[in-house]
This record gives sequence, C-alpha cells and structure tokens, in this order.
Amino acid sequence: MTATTRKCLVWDLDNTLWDGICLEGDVCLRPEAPAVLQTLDQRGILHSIASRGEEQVALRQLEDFGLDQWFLTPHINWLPKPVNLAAIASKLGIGIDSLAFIDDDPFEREHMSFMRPEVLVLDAADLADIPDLPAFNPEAITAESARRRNFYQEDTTRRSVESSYGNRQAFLAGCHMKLTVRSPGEMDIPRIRELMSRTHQLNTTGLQLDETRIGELLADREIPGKPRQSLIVADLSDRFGIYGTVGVAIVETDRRRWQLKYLAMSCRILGRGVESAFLKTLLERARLDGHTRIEAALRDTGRNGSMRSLYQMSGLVARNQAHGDGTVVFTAGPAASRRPPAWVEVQCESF
Amino acid sequence: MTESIAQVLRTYLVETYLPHTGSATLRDDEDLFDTGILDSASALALLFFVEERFDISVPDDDFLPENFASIAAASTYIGNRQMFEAQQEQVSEGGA
Repeated sequence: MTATTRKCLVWDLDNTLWDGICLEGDVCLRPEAPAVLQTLDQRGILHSIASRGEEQVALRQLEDFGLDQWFLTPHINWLPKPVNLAAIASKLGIGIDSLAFIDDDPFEREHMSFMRPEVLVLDAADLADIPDLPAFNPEAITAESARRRNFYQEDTTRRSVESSYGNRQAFLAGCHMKLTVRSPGEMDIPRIRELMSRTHQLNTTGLQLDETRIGELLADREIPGKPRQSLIVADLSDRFGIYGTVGVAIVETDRRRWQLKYLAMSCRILGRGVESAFLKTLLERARLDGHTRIEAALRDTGRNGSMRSLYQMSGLVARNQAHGDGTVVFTAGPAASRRPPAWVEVQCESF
Repeated sequence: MTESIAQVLRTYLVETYLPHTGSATLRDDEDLFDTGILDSASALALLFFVEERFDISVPDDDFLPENFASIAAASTYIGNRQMFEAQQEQVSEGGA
C-alpha cells in the first residue's frame, strides 16, 4: 500500500471531540483534543467536521471552546457521513484517500469503511495516539516501527471485512439490527420524557409532556366517551451494542379511527431504516387490529422535515391543509402497504 | 432526454451510496427503498438534489414513494415535471 499520509482529519463531535451530546445538554471538551488539533496543524494537516446535529448549535459550542478557527468546511447535518466526507474532499480540493475520519460510534466507523474504503477510519478512544500514527507524520519514514506495522495489519483486517459486503443493503443486514416494539412501564418514564424533549428532527409534533402526564398515559385508563390513548416504545440493538429506547409513539383509538398522535425517534439512529421499521410496525398493527381509518398527525415545527419525508416515503398522504395549530392529518395511501426494511428485525412484545 | 436524466440519477446515487460497487449494480427498475439507499433522510437529500440539478420544484403532494422508488420512476416524474413547468411558463408569458 502507498500514499498513506493524510492531509485532513475529519472529526465527529459528540463523544469524540467532546464528551456528551451537544443537542442534549452540557458537553465537556476531551482533554486530549486541543493538543491533537495543534500538533497536526503544525504538520500542515487540516481539520474538518462530519457530525450529526444542528449546525448553529454545534458551531456555537465550538466557539465557546475557542476551537472554531481550527476547522475548515464543517459539515454538521443529518446526511450519511460518507456523503459528507466526499463533499469535504471536493470542497478542500483533495482526494478522498487523503482523509482520515475519527468517530466514537462503531456503526459510523464501519459504515465509513464500507462506503469509502480509501478513508482512514479511527476510533475516538485512540484520540491521544493520533499524532503518533504514520498517517499523520508526513516526514517521518520509520518503516520498521511496530506501530506502523500494527497499523497496516489493522488496515488489512478492516479491508477483508469490507470486501465481504456486497452492497449497502448487505452492510445493513450485516449489522443485525433488532427493534423491540413494546408497551412501556413505570421505569421507562424518564427516557420517554427525554426522547420527547430532546428529539427535534424525527418528531411529528414537538409535543411535550411532563412525567405525571406520561404516567397517566401509561395507566392507559379507558374513559367512557373519550378516545383511548396509549404509549408505545421501541428499543434498538445491533451487533455493535445496545442503544436502549430510541422511539416513542402515542396512539389514539376509538371505534372508528386509529390515529398516530405522536412519534419521536432518537436522531442518533437516523438513516438506518429503523424509523421506517417502527412506523411500519405501528401502521401494520393498526391494520391487523381491524382499523379501517388509519391516520397520522404531523405539525411542521420548522425542524422536522425528516419526519415529513418519512411519512411521505412510507406512503402516508396529507389529507387536509394545516389546522389552526398547524397539524396536518395524513392517511394511508396506496403505497402504505410497502414492506418495512428487511434488514431490521422487529419483535413485538405485548402492545 | 429521459435516458440522460436516468444517467444523472444513477451517477448521483452510486457515487453517494454505492461508491465502490459500480454503476452496473443499480438497475433502472431497482427499488431504492428495498436496496437501503432511500430512507427518510436520504430521500430528502435526493429531493434537494433533483430540484437543484433539474431546476424543478417538487410539490409536497408529488414527493411520493411511487415517484422516487426507482431510477426509472424518478426519471419519468422529473421529465414530466420539467415539461409541466415549461408549459406553465409559456402560459404565464403568453398572458403577460
């Protein structure tokens, strides 16, 4: 292998540059990070960003840490990271094979290796070792160093894993994603509240409920003359680990009608087909339960374009103009019978 | 005309989502949802790409799986939409 020195290190932000998740509260700069930024910069290596999140929020955080000047052409959005890496390479006018990418999430790392095998992919756990890597030492030609040998060996392993995947579908299938859809219990209340308050992209209405109200919904009491509302949650795991509860839904039913009042999913799992699997499972259950009028509500919050896209790509069709509060009701159109993604295994437990 | 739209779409999809599998792996009639290429986020990205690249505006009511589920479906839709928008322009110019 030749030309392994890298011209640019592309950083993930949450749990890589800083500990914690920017959209979910306070974050803490990783103590090793400033030295890595500076050392590489002195060697003429550039820094950029490919991270999920809200651009303005993340840029403000970078400013607060006094780090914003280090990074060229940051890409902070919800697109697949391999797409962003290609955009960064083209903006900087360098080859994609001169990029390195650092991320804490094994899914993101493997996704990058699969989609862009020419990118050097690094684990955020190894942040402190980065300045020592041969890839970031353009002048140092110490071919016999053990570290360098290790590096090549790792690279070979990684490549053989990649070549065992045929395409993106096979990559996703190889992740063995499992989604468990279930009725929540008391102990789920804090996480439900957290999901409702911290997710903005995949959030149908922006509804906020306090823990008391969530507890009342959990009790699932039927009040005569009123439609029944129930809570449903979804847990995700894959071969990289357990993500916990990533989705929450509120369903309202009466004799005539089934309506998805609310749906929110963690933005961290966006782009793996999981959101589609959850929505499909809910709609399918409504059909199996014999409901003929199946509806889903959506309110444009200015930040939930992905959710509208999910609805429409799942075959839901807007039935009316926005109500007074901005809510649009969608109904199942002809394409709503499409299969859920085959690579997400769904298990339904008591809901 | 339709062929060139299909080529642009194939290049975009393969470059973005299947960079080292080669364009031959993505057929015109292949279902972009079943292949894991399109989901809520990437469909939105495709929508923005299509609007910019083909200089059309896709109304919400047209942003439907049947219009974007394959290269063939998207090419047909984009071709029709371009024609429709060109006609609209002529009508408004004629009226002016």
